[in-house]
This record gives sequence, C-alpha cells and structure tokens, in this order.
Amino acid sequence: MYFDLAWCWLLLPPLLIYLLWMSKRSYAQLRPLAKWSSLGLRAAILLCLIGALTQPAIIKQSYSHHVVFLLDVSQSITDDNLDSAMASINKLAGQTIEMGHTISVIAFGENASLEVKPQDEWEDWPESLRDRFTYQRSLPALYAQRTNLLASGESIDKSAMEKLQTSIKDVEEFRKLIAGDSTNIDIATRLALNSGSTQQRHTIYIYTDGNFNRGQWSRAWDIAKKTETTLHTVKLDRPIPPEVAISEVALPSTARTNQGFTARIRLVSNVETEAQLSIFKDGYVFSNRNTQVSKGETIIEVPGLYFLDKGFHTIEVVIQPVKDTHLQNNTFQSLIIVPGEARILYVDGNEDQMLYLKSALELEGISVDARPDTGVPQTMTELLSYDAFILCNVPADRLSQRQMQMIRSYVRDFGGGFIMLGGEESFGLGGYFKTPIEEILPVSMPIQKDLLRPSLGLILVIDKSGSMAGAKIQLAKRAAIATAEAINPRDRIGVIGFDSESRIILELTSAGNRAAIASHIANLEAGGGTFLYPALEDAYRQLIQSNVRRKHIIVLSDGQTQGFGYQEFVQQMAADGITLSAVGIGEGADMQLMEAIAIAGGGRAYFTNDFFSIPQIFTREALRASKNMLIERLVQPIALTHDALLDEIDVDELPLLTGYVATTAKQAADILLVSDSGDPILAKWRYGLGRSIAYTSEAKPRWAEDWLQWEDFAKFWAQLVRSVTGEDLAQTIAVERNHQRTNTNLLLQADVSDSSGEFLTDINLLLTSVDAQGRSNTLDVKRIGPGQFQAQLPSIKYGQAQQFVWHAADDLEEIHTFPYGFIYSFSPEHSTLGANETVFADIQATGAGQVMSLDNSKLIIPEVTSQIVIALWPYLLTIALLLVPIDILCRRLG
Amino acid sequence: MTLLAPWALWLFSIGGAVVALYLLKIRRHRQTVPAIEFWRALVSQAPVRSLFQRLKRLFSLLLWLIIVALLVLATGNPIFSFGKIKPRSIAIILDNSASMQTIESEAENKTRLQLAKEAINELTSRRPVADEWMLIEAGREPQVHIAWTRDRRAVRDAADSIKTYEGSSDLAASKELAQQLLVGKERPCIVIISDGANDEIIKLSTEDKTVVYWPIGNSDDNLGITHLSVRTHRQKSAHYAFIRVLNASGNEIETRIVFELDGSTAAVEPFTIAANSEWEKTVILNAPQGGVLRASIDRDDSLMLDNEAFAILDPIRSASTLLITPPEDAYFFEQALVAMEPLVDLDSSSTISPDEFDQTAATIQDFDLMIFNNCLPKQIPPTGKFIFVNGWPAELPITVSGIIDSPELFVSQRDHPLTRYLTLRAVMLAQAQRVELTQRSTVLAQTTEADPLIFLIDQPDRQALCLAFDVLDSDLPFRNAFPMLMRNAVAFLVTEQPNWIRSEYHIGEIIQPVRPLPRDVSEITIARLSADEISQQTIPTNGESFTFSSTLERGPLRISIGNEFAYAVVNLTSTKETAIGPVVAIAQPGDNLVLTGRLLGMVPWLALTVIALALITLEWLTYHFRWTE
Repeated sequence: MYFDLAWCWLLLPPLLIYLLWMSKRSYAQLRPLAKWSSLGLRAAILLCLIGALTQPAIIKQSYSHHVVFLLDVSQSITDDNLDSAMASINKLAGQTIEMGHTISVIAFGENASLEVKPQDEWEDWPESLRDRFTYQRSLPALYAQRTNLLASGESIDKSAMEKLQTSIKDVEEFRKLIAGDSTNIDIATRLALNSGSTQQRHTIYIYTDGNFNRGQWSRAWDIAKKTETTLHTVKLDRPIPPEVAISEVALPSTARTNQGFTARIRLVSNVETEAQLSIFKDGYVFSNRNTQVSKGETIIEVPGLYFLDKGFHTIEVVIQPVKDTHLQNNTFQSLIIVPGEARILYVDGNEDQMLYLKSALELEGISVDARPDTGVPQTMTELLSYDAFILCNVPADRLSQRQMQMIRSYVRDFGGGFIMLGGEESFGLGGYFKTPIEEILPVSMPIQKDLLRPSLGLILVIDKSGSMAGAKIQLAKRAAIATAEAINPRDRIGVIGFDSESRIILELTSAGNRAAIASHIANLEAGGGTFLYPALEDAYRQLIQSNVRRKHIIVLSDGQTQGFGYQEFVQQMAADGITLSAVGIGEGADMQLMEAIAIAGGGRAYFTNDFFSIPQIFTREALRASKNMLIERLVQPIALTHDALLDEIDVDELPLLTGYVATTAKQAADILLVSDSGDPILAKWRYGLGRSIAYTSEAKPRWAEDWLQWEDFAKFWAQLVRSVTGEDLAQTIAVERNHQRTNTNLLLQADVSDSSGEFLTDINLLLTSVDAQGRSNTLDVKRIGPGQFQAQLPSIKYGQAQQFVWHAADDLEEIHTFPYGFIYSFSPEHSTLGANETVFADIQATGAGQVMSLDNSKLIIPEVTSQIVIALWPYLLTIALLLVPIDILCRRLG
Repeated sequence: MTLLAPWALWLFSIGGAVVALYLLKIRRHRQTVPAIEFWRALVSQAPVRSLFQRLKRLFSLLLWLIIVALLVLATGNPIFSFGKIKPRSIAIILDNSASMQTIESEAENKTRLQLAKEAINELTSRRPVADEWMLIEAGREPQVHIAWTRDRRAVRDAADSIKTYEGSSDLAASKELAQQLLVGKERPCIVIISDGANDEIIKLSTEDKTVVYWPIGNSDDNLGITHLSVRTHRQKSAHYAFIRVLNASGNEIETRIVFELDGSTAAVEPFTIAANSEWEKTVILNAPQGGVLRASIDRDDSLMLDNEAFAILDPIRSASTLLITPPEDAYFFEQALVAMEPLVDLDSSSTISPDEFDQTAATIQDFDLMIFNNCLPKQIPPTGKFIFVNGWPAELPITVSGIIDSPELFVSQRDHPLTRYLTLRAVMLAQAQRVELTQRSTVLAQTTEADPLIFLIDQPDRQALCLAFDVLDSDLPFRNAFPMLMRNAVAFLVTEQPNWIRSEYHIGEIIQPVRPLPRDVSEITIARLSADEISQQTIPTNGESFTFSSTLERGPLRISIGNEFAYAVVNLTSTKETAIGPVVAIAQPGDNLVLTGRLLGMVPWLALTVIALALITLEWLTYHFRWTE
C-alpha cells in the first residue's frame, strides 16, 4: 500500500486531541456511554476522511492478460488462409475470454487498424469484418450484387442500394488504406504492443505468411522481448492456388546503340505448367515463344536484344501460363538507358524540303530523325531520347498546348536543345506569340521597331451564339486580346460579335489602347442564334471608312449560319481591298461556307477541334495580314559578335538570304547575325538548363538558295546544332547513378567525380523527375558525402516508368545532364508464392514466442502477473458516510 | 456536473436517515436539581426558548445534511463542466528527443523535457476530470506509457518516468499511433508537447484538426553537426571527410571545428556561419592507417549533444600482388601496377614466370591478388582473389567452346565497380575465346552477340576476374582503359571489400549485418570505444544475422565477428534536433483545447472531502458548546 499525500496523516493527531478536549469541556449532557461512543465514532469518521485525503492505494498482482490477434490481410494472403486464420482467431479469442482475459484484433497490410477494440467478450466475427478482411473475394461479390440490383430496372430498392454502396465503400477503403501494396510489420506490431491496458501483460498472436516487405520484423521482436511481451507467430501456410510470377528480369541498366544484350528472366511457380512468353521492345513484339515453367524456379535467357536509338527504352516481359491465378505478376517492365551520339529531332512543315538540312547534318555525322509536322512527340519520354529539337515552319496550331508546355519543360528542366527556323509558318507568322515556345526562344514575336510602317485594319467577327458558351467564348476573348497585343500598336482593331444579329463590341480603334480593348472585349457574352451576314456588313462598313492600308477580317464560328449570298458579298469586299480569313471550330462548324468565303476573300480557312489553338490562329492571321513580319528581299547577314558557334566560318563571306521573319531580340539574348536592317537572323541564349537558337531565315531554296551552294553550309548547321546539344562540352564530369529501395521510401543517389576520378566536392547537383503526364518536378537533393548526393522519393509507383535527369554545372557554368530511370512493375506482394519459411525460422530463433502452423495454433498465455493499482479513497469516504447517522443516533439517544 | 461513480447517489439515503433521527422524539432523562434554581432559569428563558431551540436544531440538521451531501458527492467523484468544456479523450504525445535536452536559460536553466513534464501537469489539472488520458512517449519508438485512464495523477507519474532519448523522435509515427488508438473515441484530441522538431509540427498540426500543439522552449542558441561522412580515396591514400554544421540561432557565429583522430588533433577548421544557415566543408585527412575520427565544435551552447560526431576511417590497404606471366609479356602489367601505387605495395609485390609458379605454388602465400597472364597454372590456392587473362584453371566453372575472330567489345554492366570510368569502345581484338559460364557469374563486357569477354566469377572462397582474350594481342594496353581496369580490379577485389556492417548509424537505429554472417559464428561481441573505457557486450547471432539495438549512446563501436572486426559509429547528426529554434506561430486548429480552473486548487472530490472534514470538526464544536442540538 502507498499514500500519495501521506502528510495528511499529520492532521489526525491535532484533530483527535481537539475532539477529546471538546468532549471533556462539553456542555452536552450526554451519558458516559453515549459520550464515549460519540467520541469514538467521530474519531473514526475523521480517520476515514483524513485517510481518504492521503489517497491510499494498494497494489494487487493480476493474472489478467490482453491478447492481441494481428491478422495479415495484405494482398499476398489467399482467401483460404484468411478463412482459416479467422477460424483460428475465433477459437482462441473464445478461449481467452473464458479464461478471464481481454482481447483485441488488429488487421494489417500497408497500414494497421484496430478492428476489434480491447474487450472482455467475444461471440463471433461480425459480417462486416469478414467482408473487410476477405476483400479479395468480397469485393467482386459486392460488385456483382450491385450489378444485379441495377439490372433489376425501375424496381431498385433504394435503401438496399445505399446499404450496398456503403458496404462497397467500406471494403474499398479497407483495401486501399489498410491492405495497400505492402506488408508493414513495424506499424502493425507498434499498434499491437500499445493497445489494451498498460496494467495488463500482452500476448500477441501474429497470423502472417512472413512476407514482410516494409519495416524490420527483428525490431518488433526486439521491442517485444524488452517489454516482456509474448509474441507467437501463426504461419498462414495453406497451399495457394496455381501461381506463376515473373520474379526478376536481369538486364543491363544501360546499353549502347546497336549493342546486343541478353534478358535473363527468372520465373517462380508453385506448379508445373506451359506458358507463352512474350518480349516487347518499346511496346512492339520482339519475340513470342512457348515455354515450360517448372515448379520452383525457371530461368529463361533471351539473347539478341538491342536498341538502335539512344534514349529511354522499355523491355516488357509478359508470361501467360496455362495454370495461373493472379495477373498482376505476369508482366514485368524494365527501363534501359541507351546513351549514344547526339540525336536530333527535325520537324518541318514542308516535308518535301527537309532533305537539305537533314543531309547537311548527317554529312557532319549527326544522327537526324526527320519528321513532318505531325511528328512532334506526344510524350516526354520520346522527346527526351533526342538531344535537340529543330522546329521549322510548323504553325503553332498544329501543336497542342500540352506539347508546347512539354517542349518548354524539355529545354528548361531537362537541358534539351531547341532551334526554331524561319518560314511563313514560323515565329509570329506561325502564331507563336505568347506561347510557351516564345518563352524558350531568344527572340520575341511582336516587332517593336519601325512603328511608322503602314498600318493594318483588322476586324474580328466572332460567333457569340449559344453554342459558343463556356470555354469557347472565353478562348475567343483571350484570342482577341492577344491579337491586339501581337499587332503593331499603330494598327487598328475592331471586334464584332454576332448571334441572330450583329453587335459591335469594339469600334475600330488603335491597337495600342490595350486597356480599353480588353474591357470592351470582356463584354462579349454567348447566347442566341447564328447569322453572320449583318456582322460582315458592319465589318465592311467600318473598314471601308478606315484609311488604313491593309484591311482584314477574321471570322470565327462554330455553327451553321443563316442566310445566303456570302460569297458574292465577300468577293465585293475583296474587290475593295478587304481580305478575309475564316476559322471554324468544332464538328458543327459550316466548313463549306468558311472555305468558300476564305477563298473569295483571298484569305485562309482554318478548322480546329482544339479550342486552345484559337489564340494562336488569330495572332498568326493578324501578323500575316499585317505583312510586317515577312521580309522577302535580298539580305546580307552581318555577324555582330564572335562566338564559338561560328568558329572556322568566314563570317565576312556569308551568302545572301532572300527572306526572313522579323522578330525582336530579347534582352538577354546573344545576337550573332543580323540583317542589314538590324533584325535578328541568328540569336541564341540559355533557357533554364537548356539552350535555344532562333534562326529567322530558312535552310531551303526559297530564302537560302545561295546558302545551299555554300561550302560551309553543312559545317555551319552542324556547329549550330552541336552548340545546343551540349555535345561540344568537354566531358569533365562523371556521374554514377543508382537507386535504392528502403523500408519506407526510395532513394536516388549520385556519385560525382571528374575525369581523373577525383571526388567533386564543391559541385551542386540538381535532379528533375518527369511524371506519366510529362510534367517535370524538381526534387530536393542533399549532399551526403564528398561528391555524393541523394534525393528521396516518398512513394513507389508500380507499373510506371520513373524518369529522372541529374544536372551538374562544371567550372565554366556549362550544364551537363545525366538521364536515369527505372520501373517497378508490381508490388512485392505479388512476387511471393506462399509462406516465407526463412523468416519463420529466424523468428523461431529469437525465442520471443512460438511459431505454430494454422492447424496447431493453440492458446499459450504465460502465467506471469502484472500489477494493478486500486485506489482506496472511495471506500473510506463511504465508510465515513455510513458512520454519520450512527454518530447522530448515538447522540440523540444519549 | 457529472459523477464518475454515480452509484454513490444511493448514499444520499443516509441524508434521509439523518432527518429521521432529528425527527425522533427524545425522551429526556430525569435529573434532580434545586427547584428554585430550575424555576428561575425557566422563567427567564421561557419567552425565547421555543424559537431558539428550534433554530439550534434546524441548524444542526442543516449542517449534517451539508456534510452528508459533500461526502456523497465526493464519493461519486464528480466533475464540473463549465460552459462549453466537454470531456474529451486526449492522447498526449511527449517529445523526449535530443533537442528536448536544450537548456532554457529563461526558465531557470531547466531542460525542455522538464518544462514539458510541467506542461503535462498543467494540462491535466486544467481539464475536466472526466477527460480520458493516454500518454505516448515519442522517443525511439512510439510507446504508450499509460493507456486510457481518468487518473491524471497516473498520467503525471508516467510522464515523470520518461527519460531523455538522445536521438531523433518520430512525431509523425507517434501521431499515427495516437490516431489508431483514438478510433471510436468521442471528441478525440492529440496534444503534442514538443519543441517543434524543426517545424515538423507545422505539418502535423495543420493537416489534422484534432492535433493541438503545446510549444516548449524559446532558446535558439545552438550550433550542431548535422552530417559527417568519410570517403576513402585509395589512389591518393587519403580520406575525405565531409561535414555540415547548422547554426540554429539568429546570430552570425565564428568558431572552429576540431578533428581528432584516435584522440590526437588531425585538423582544425575555423569558420564563420551566418544566422540560420548551414556551413559545409570537405576536409582531406592523410591518415592511411585509419582510426576513429571525432569532430567537435569548440563552443558551448544550449544543446551540447550535437556538438560532436564520429566517423570511422578505414585503413587504406596496399595490396601485395603476384604477377605470373611469361617474362616477355610482363611489361604492360607491371607498368599498370606501378602506376597504381600506393594502391599496390610494390615492395611486397613480385613477378614470376609460370614455371616458377608451378614449382613453388604450394609454398606461395600471403599475396592479396594473383594475376595470371597467358598461362594455365596446374593448381591455384583454394582461397583468394585472382585475375586470369586468356586462360584459367579447369576448376573454374568456364567452358571454352571456340574462338571468336575480331570481336567487338562492349561494356555490358556499366554500373559495376569493375567497369567504373571504363571506355572499351572500338578496342581492337584479334580474337577471343568463346566461353560459356556454367555457374552464375557477372558478365562485365561482351561481344555484340552477347559472348562474355570480361566476367567475374564469384565462388565461396574465391573471386576471379577473367578476360577471355589475349590482352597483348589487342590495342588495349595502349589505351587508358587497361590501367583503369587493373586499378578497378585491385580496388574491388582487394582493398574495397565490403564491411559486415554500415559505417554509420543514428542513435536508436538497429545494427544488423549487411551481408550474411558465416554459419559457424554463433555470437558476436560489441565493444563501445569511449574515451574512458571499453565496455563489451556479447549477443547471440540469429541464423546468418544479428540484431543489436542498444544504440542509445553516441560514439564508436567495434564488432567482433569471428576473427574479424567491423567498426561503426553512432551519431546524433540530425537537422531536426539541431534546429532548436521555436516554431513560427502556428494558427491553432479551430477545435481548440479549452482549459479550466480547479476547485480550491484541488480535484473536486478532494476539495469536497476537505470541506466535509472542516464542517464535521465545526459541528463537533457547536454541539458540545450547545450552540446546536
């Protein structure tokens, strides 16, 4: 026994003396017996009260145990094993309760949850828990129930459906949050060791197959021993159905171009069966073969694999066994990086004229992949397999917004090179004003000089009928504003909206008055029918009264317009010097009419389903109409500064050009060649980690016929390309890359040294990742040693290629890039077949408890005691209370 | 008000008994007194007697009823809910990590852990008695110290028993455990009493509204080592030590770091570090003999635990090599070995002919590496490291199936240490042996048809690098790749043999071998190599592994595994612990934890008992002085 406030006993002697003294001097004329009885009772009451104040407690030995059943519900556990485990827990839990102990049940996989709270009673498994634990079986059954219920048509029982949906959601959440993709033994044992009362001894039963792939099981057993907790393990060792899994595909992480290599495929199986084995290279079938899979391990070697191109490549191995249960482990993907010589992607809008530049580069030993304008890569993986990207004469509306953003990321985040060549569909004329591509380039599209040039009168006639509501009208507004910004501030712009009738949104006004233009255009709201004619009349009236030199109308519509006589009217406008272009958007557009009026108006017709390209089409049309950008005359390129790019080229004898696209050099750009009027011909700069070049003329006969004859033509282009690929950089840095999977996350490591093997201690390394959507993300990189760096990934995404690029800047601030990547095909839960006997043997050796099979599972609770502390103050107060009436009675009767 | 023991209300029936006793008609007992005196007293008191007597009796009854009521309520263990305060289930997480050892000069030089325990006292005393409490220690491993209870004293006692953990605690895991144990509880709440763990608390308390952060500590005067790692540059026979120091304070600090190797000063690095920033440095230490490196900051601050860190400097071994080659083929190999000094100890290395080797094979020993060039030795030692060039003994699992003419050579394992910095592009080979490897081996370079040309054979007692072509019948010796390959081979096969354990662990980390132990090792001995003494501990192995978890102190360890020794250090080195500055104010979650006052500064039942005790004492006085009846 112990007392919390033992000093309270000091109150007792003075109080007893007081009682006695008062009793002696009492005026209450009690009989002696009553007097002494009263004194004794009062003393007893005080004793009890002071005793309570001291807060006494006794420590009692208890044999009460808390038995925790930990049930492994990860994906590697079969339903048969789960059923048997639940039956075993049911039996043992009942026995535990009968013995007067308490129980709790914890389910664990990737996470753990207390499914049955500490309690001293047990009947059987509730149905809801059965559904949760056997989610691999119950979910398909619940889905089937839902389908059947829905198929019952109008007579759907709403309450039954709601109940079913709740059950499905509950089981789905359990599968996602608790079962997950791994088996985390740490988190499970931590909860088990800490559930229940701290005044009870703990005995833990772990029902598992021993395939722990997160956490350290030995750590849990160590803690259990230290806390004197008994930890029994029950092996979930029921035979599993036929299963074949690809355990490993051994491949070199890198291979040179055209280098043969062998894939060493390791299959594991619990059954002998036939199977078809397919190998895919970058998604294309490489080989198909029938193979015999043995019970246990089967090794298959597939030689003769190779890649012709540099970059990231995938090898996918697919096995289709005759006897098998799970599909998740039948596909294994690996990522291989093929380094090699610089490889260039060249996309040109004039397919028939690609030969000139392609041949010149190939003559200089540069590998070129030339494609028409439909060949702009859709994925970052594809783009990253090239060192530089040359884009020539491809209008912006041929590229999606996502593609342009991807190209920007390719240059900025992955250090890729980018070159844009001139042409009628390039730079501003191609509609690249205010696009991600303009951001990359060292030149901007609007011309900010020669403001006194003849001006343009441009009217945008925009369909604002009801069908344009939403994104279309918003993009049309944005396009109108962008157009006003793109053209010369002295040019004039007007906007007319039309539905059933025409409405002048913005009178023909100076393009420099941007704030007013924007506020007027904001008033454009969609609604009503579609009737173009009155709007054309309004546009004509405004333009004919205007004294501008070039007059142009752009019509935008997404529907079938009313009325007739358009062609004749537009021909009349053309005769009056007003040109017209038409843009049809969406499948519902009247393209026949659009084309007809565009031809009649001497302009161009566009059709697009990509609403986001509207701004590009508008600006492109406006800039073409202004004819300010297209310079077609004899031009002598003049070298402004010396640059390594022009080494060994006689810049004083550069051939004449016959045209280029006018642009404005950005402030930070290096301008290497200019026209005689000062417009940039060749400009370069660094954008993010990459480099880009703007060459505003062509490498084709139309503008560069003399250049094609020039003896340094190939050399000039090769040097230009090499300057953006980084190939001219001295290989001063070597970066060894690897990754490591830990219990909790994924570590990417890099070891940086110079060419002599010296650790680079002062260098900074950056790491960029690219996700499945092509978005780039910069990761935190930490220096972990001399020349050693590490980055951490929070989670592993199964079945997705994980691509990264390490960047390092050398002493000259030149950036070197080092690609890296890998794929984890599936969760380790699917790579195992049956119980892990090695782990069980090691667990047995720890001596922290017994390892038993399912059939022999039995309740073993050690006969050790724990201490229970019982507070006595409530009892003392009760005694004092009971004595009170006796005390009074005694006095009353005395 | 709520009673935790409502059964006590039955005790109110005692009040009824008391009233009944007062209603009891008392038969007065006879007493003989002088009649004259009696009548005089009676006459003088008669006008007031009946009223006063009645009041005296009522007052007495009232007093008793109050006493009974107080005692009944006290027995019922009442709680008082004021206003919106409702009983909650509160899991307290006590951070006892290294940073909680910080001494707070503004708080009477108490440590943060002491302040945290005081905070628990305050918290538990200012909440309704009906609150349920649980205390979790966040230290090395989240651990419940007291499970759900309403006994706040038990919570305080449990908190008092928690000791400092000199490592880094995992508040997120503690919070996760608390959440799991709070499932199903009404009005759950997690109170984290911590110094913020370098702003980790911000994430924890903003992502979950049940979390209430109770900040501890204001001091930020701390400079700590957050990283120390060492790499060995064998070619230079030097160690590169990389150190990172964090200044958690708001002031620029000028001080120095002292590197001691086995107790002797090896280097001193003065430095100036800006406020709230890091300082990094790589120091080159020329200590081929190796040893225990201790780095310490020469400055006292609020947290001394992070002012030192340790690292192991592996001794840089020089390999002794035996080159067995026809004398006329020796030149390029010898030149490659000479260029490798000090990686190769030339004094203990030698070159002999195949005949000489065959004659003395039985007696040759103690070479770290044997290089056989263009010869087929009759026998080779049963254990050791070898390089075989264009020929190998039959006992190796290699089958020669033909000759390849003019093969092209490609590196197939670019990541392997043996092919580090190796460029074999366009190496001209006249011919090579076509081989088949009958056991698992590592192919490092191969032809375009995937025929192995350079490969590594790993056997239990032997490791051999094999080249399936005559080096001298190619232009390889004239390329950088040849000495590079030889250097990689010496480094990989001899001097860079993997350790049994990692060289650095953090406090609280479990030490386990990184490769399987020999089966015949049944126990290992771990010695702490502190400056004052060496304490040893023997633990049994567990199959091919062992688990050593007593890593609660900083310093070097020596682990004896059979006849071999492995060294490791245990460090704190944690940015989270060194950054002791107070957390930038966190917006408290909407569901705040409201605190209340107490009844007479005591728990209610205690206060009620004290009042009852006082009243009983008073009643005794009034009764015997006849103020009541």
